[in-house]
Amino acid sequence: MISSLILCSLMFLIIAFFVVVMNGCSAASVIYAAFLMFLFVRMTFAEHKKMGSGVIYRRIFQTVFAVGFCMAFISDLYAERGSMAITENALSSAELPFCHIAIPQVLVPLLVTKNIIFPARITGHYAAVASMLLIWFICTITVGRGWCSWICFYGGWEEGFSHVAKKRRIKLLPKNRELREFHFGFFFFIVLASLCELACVYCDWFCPFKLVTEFAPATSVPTLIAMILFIGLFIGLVIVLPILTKKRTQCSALCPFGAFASLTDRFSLFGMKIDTQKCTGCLKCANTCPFSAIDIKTIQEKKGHPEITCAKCGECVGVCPQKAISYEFRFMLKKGACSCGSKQGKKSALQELLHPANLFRFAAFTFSVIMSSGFMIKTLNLIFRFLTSIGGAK
Amino acid sequence: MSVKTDSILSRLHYKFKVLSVAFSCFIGITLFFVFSDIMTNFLGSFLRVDPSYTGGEVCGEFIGDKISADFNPDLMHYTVHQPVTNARWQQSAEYWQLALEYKNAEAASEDFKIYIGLDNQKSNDALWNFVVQLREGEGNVFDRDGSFITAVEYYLLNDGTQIKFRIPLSDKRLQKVLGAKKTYHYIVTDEFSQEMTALEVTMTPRKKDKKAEAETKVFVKHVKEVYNQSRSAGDSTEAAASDNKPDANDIEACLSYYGQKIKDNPDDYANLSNYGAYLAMRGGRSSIMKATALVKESYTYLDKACALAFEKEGEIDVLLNRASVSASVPEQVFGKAESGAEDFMRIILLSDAKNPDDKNLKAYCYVMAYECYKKRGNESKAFLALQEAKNMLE
Repeated sequence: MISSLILCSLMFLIIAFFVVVMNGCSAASVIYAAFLMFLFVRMTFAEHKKMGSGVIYRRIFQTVFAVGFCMAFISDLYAERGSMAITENALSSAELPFCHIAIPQVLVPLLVTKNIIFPARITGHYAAVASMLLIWFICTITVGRGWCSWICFYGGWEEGFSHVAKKRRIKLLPKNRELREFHFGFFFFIVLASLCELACVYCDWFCPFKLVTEFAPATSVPTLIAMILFIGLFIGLVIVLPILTKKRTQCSALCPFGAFASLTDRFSLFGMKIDTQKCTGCLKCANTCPFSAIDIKTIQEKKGHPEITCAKCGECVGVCPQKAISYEFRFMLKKGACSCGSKQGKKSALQELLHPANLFRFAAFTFSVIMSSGFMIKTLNLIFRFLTSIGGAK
Repeated sequence: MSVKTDSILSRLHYKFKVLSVAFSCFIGITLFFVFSDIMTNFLGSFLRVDPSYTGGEVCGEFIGDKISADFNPDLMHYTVHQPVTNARWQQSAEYWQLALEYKNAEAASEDFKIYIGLDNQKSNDALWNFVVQLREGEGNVFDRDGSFITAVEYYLLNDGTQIKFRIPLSDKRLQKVLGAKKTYHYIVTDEFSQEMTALEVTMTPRKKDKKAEAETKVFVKHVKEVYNQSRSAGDSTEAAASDNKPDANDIEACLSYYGQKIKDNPDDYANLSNYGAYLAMRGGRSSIMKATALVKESYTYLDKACALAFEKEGEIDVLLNRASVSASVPEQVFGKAESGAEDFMRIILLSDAKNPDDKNLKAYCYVMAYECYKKRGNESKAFLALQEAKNMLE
């Protein structure tokens, strides 16, 4: 209880500074701060009561953030260019917003050519290359691939759609391994193609989120093909398949940043641990995992941890009837020890506060707060303006 | 004994690791975002976008006086880039970029021609080989016989003050640019004459002049010191004249002094401005959270003071306060560099009319405007401001 109160107080300070003070204490900032605080308090106390039960607040946050981000981004584009289409002016002045998905595509060419192969600002803007690279770096050494399930402003689309249907129509579980193989194969193809072409091939041809952000207008046959591709991929991998499989299919099969984050996750502070002694092999975790990171073999072979693509969303923690899955410090995972499931009995407030699950959630939510505040306040202002205009018209 | 020591050491080691993780999660991430501005700029100084996106490496740059008087006097900046080959995401894979920046959008909208001579095609009677002609917002290239060669990509940027041309190098006559060691440029609003002086450009990438950068730093420091000395002399005479005024270095005393003055007369713009400036100074000495709120609050006083002082006696001092605050606050948090530069330029205008002999003030304002423009990434305006400061003290 005390640890939850301490966590909430600390988060209150972070939210107050980054959301309210940094945004001039506006009405929208106060409302958004209250929303974030509500989510964090509910999540922390729910987790305190029952491990894994606070995961719903993560889902709500990510879905709201994804929609809000796209609304704010599109309104920015309309204000600057009058449309979502990439203009020649923006391209020739190297003013395209840079996003984290482009990072794995620019890193290898950066080492080879010492240049960023993306026409974006280097500094001085929210989507500048230098700031995104730094955020990626800090994220990698703290929450690792937790970015995908907590912070990514695109992932919320799939998060939302994967919870639309009540029943799973297609079972992907037996194909998890193949899905992962395809994902990494595609990732290496994208990196190699970007190096050969010296251009971000994924952004140019495949990124489905161009449909809800910005895209090159179809002025030639290649741009028309690219348009058909990204619309198809958005409908297929972001809407239809998540509904049918209840999984984040784009994140699990296509996103190059997801694959890259999986590979660099070993440098993060946290990981997931499966207590093999407690596990009864019911496979509920494997069925639930939205990132297809737990296979039948993972459980049968008693690996003790999910597969490399685990995004630490915490969905498996809540569904495990034996409470065999938990967050763990990376340095404890390496030793093969576990500070979570083995210790029984009452813990002191400090022990609770320093529990890996609490620390991870706090870190991930801090990122979420800071990354989302600017966009969400802009979105709220847009909504207020819209409502006022409707009220005025009436 | 040794087993016991080992166990104590390993426990300490574990606790140290856990505390490090806790520090990273609770404070590290927040600190990173607070200081991300500094880190982003540091990282940004090592990164650059591939020249094929930005128009190629700069070969020749002509700013202010360096552009001959034969040309349009409103032309501030003329840049010649190295031709680009194998460009991605561009209309033409091979192109040559020329950029012109004007003082205002009106000047930029005038028709003009750029006559270009190539050293590998030069003969005694022909000073130029082809001409880029801009007429009614369309750019075309013609050869010496007046035959049309190609249309150019034409971009109007920076609120209509900057023009960028990208000449596609698909025609054989133009491809000779790729082999030219030197090119000669004549920017003409009327007709070409043989007496004109060409802007000569060596077609190799320009190297960074570290010596000139160091000299500029010394010059800027010198101008600031001279201005501060002259100002502190003026302040001491002023302080002697009004014995009620607190010591200018005592921020709290000054705040209560000016606060009282504002209570007595809420429309006294001089006191409002001083109060705002001292609030910002208090922000500079406060914690980050407080500083942001204080600086935001200071602008309510500074902006009100500037609005009240517009075209009245004492406007210079009021503007100087706001401009100095704008120049000193972090750009990524407050984004005030542009308005700071504009304030400094207005002070120069006002002091031209009221006190034309105050060269120290004007040089200081030019130098500060230079720093503000630099912060915003407006290199040409920064360079011009620096040139003016140098002219002022010559």
